[in-house]
Amino acid sequence: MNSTTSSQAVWNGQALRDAFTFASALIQRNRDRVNQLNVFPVPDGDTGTNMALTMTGALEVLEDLPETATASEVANRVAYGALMGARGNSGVILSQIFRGFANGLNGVTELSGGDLAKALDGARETAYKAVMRPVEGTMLTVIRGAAEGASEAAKTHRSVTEVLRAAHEAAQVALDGTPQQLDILRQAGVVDAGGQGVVIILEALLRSATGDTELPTMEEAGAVGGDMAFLDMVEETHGEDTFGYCTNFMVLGSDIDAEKARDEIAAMGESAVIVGDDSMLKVHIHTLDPGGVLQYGIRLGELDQIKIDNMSKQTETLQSQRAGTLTQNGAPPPEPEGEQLHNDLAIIVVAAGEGISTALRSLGATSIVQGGQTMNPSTQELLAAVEDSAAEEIILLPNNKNIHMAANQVAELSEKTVRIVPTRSIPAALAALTAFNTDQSLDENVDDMAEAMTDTTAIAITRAVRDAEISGIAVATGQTIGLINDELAAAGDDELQVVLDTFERANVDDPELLTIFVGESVPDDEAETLQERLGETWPDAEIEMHNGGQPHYRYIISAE
Amino acid sequence: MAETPRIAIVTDSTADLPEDLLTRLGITVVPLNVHIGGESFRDQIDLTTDEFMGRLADTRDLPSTSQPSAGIFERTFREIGQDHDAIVCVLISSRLSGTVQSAQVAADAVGDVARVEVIDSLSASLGCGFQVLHAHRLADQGLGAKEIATRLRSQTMNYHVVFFVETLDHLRRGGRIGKAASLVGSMLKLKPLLRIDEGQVVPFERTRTRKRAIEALVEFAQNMPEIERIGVLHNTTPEDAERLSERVQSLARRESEVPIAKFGPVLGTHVGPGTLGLAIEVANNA
Repeated sequence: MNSTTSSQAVWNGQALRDAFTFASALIQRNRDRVNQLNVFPVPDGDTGTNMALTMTGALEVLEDLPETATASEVANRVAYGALMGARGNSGVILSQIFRGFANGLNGVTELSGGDLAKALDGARETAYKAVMRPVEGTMLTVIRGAAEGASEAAKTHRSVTEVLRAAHEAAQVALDGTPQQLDILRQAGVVDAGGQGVVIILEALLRSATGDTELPTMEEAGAVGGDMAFLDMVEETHGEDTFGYCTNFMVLGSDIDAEKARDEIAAMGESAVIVGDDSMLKVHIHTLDPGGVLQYGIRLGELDQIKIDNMSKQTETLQSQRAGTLTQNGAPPPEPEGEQLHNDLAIIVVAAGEGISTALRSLGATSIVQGGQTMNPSTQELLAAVEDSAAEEIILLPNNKNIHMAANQVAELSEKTVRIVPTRSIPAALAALTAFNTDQSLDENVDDMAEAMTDTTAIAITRAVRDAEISGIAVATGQTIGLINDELAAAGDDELQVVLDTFERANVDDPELLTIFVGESVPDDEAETLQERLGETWPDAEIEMHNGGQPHYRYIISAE
Repeated sequence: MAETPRIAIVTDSTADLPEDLLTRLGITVVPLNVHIGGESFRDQIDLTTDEFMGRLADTRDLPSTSQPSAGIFERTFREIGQDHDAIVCVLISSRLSGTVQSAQVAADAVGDVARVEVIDSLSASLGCGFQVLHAHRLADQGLGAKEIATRLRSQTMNYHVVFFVETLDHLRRGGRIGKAASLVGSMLKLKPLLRIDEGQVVPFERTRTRKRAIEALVEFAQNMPEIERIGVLHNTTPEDAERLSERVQSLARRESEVPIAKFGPVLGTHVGPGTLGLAIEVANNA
């Protein structure tokens, strides 16, 4: 029965599949709203994006499953897909929620309200286990609320719909309570982003059960600038005309002549959809020359969220092998190379930016997985890098706290010996790699590297992506902000001054060596001015400046 | 009662032993050669370390070094052989220099007049210098040349040299880098620690700042069991050497005849200015 309006009492496999599909669409549509709950105003691994991409991964694998699959089979498949597609810590926890959900449904052909309550309780249990030190006020709290609400409801209701309704309500209550549990949320005036994602998924399941599966419009979903959901919609409407490269990107600039740009870009290919205003353009086009289109775009402003797919059939096989491994700038990942310091041991490092990648390789990184602050690689991408390596022993440097959980998943999933050195920044990775010693065992190296990574102060200079007030520092969107080891330290309009203020806050006494990686958007003369000023401040320090090529971060500085 | 054999000790100019000590102990030094700016100098005779460093700063030419000729060794052996029963000749690692080879050719040539034991220290600087002093002590105890040579050859692993360089350029140019070549090519500045292992320069640890490199030297010494003697090596940084010496001397059981030594021009050519290191002699049974 294809129920559209009546609420459902039980779900078979197909109904569960439909519910997950709608959940994916709904979280996709709400991606920006969730992203905006990001506590820190930095271009960071956005929770909404990460959860949406994780859901996409979860659904992709459902395609191989026959229509007749049971609820249990569907749930298991979704859990597997989410595990492999997980990006960011929120994605990993979400994948564990699906894992527990599937465990709770083990062997169930059609799920009832009672089964659902059991599945949500399983989800709660596994989610808490996934985190070493569970913290309340996070998505854990929200899934726990949902599980408790569901099991309470299941005592009196048998229908899936009623149990979901109770779960969703309880989850919402738990979510609303998160700012009371976590100071940082209260300060930022937001609820937990991951928790919000869980509530949206539950809402989607509930609405799927009641037949209310109309997606909100972009405005209703609170979509703004960085949203790419419209592009996904466009992509869904791809007809038979697929040829060349499906090219998507945003241009952030000022005084853009949007109309002129629209006409000129549209002339460079087919199926063009170009929207925006004088400060921002969103471009979707099928073209044989994506480079030409990007070159046009870069003259208008800064490029962001670049995504290029080759649509021709011949490359499909290759593409599926590389699934998910396109880098942020659309290029295929570089071939693993770098100095082979050790034959049986590989060091795999997550990083963005050509210059930074080269520097890491020159210190002994065997291969680089593209990603970082704004693009968290999925568990699958990290796992692929591990499995592709010729070495049996792997040291993995995530270089971002939001990639730690995915890295830990890889260690569990791989047959190889994978050890994580929990680096949270590029400077930490430099220090850790420097400490690597070919003459030592894996364990000795991991210990030494973990110790060495704390020897450096990591300073990052970027631009605020939203207004915020954190630890007494008020920040307006677009202002320069300085971070010390991920903590907001200074903000202002004068970039040079922000850098100097950040150093002051960092308490870097008489640094001996400053290694500066200049971001892709920084003109040479600005970088040189910065180098001069730092040289005046610390005449004894050796200052080494490299073109890091990293996106979003104006400067990444290691002070030793 | 058998007469104590008269043993002469010979070394080369890279052992970095101070001149007054060599004179006092009657140790003969055969110089290597330094070529700089089209001129050739006998190490430590025509050119002191400080003069060398001055010239190094003034010239754009890259200095090079060469081993003593077999002829110089032969002349030296013949002279000394006249009033000694045997000669013990302790030299820089054969894997860093051809000096041992020259000496061996000369030793074979003078077989009619002098008995010469050529010993490959498998070390350099004070790592070789400590072995020279050990040879001298054994000779003092009345041991014969053969016995001294046997003992020294079986104990080369008791001598450690560890150092860091400001830049790997000099080692690379001099071709003395061996396995440490893997350190070259880093896009970032490194202050790598190197070690002499089985006569070769090998990478030991990597650091990025001088301060950390010095800490790594101290740690290296702290991890050594039963240090007999320890000496600090430097070429242009006497204050750093002094401070390092204060920190490590207490780790040794005996006072070193040479607490601080200066890398001579030959080694200086290969390591470059700013180099700091340690030479360590550990107890024989350690």
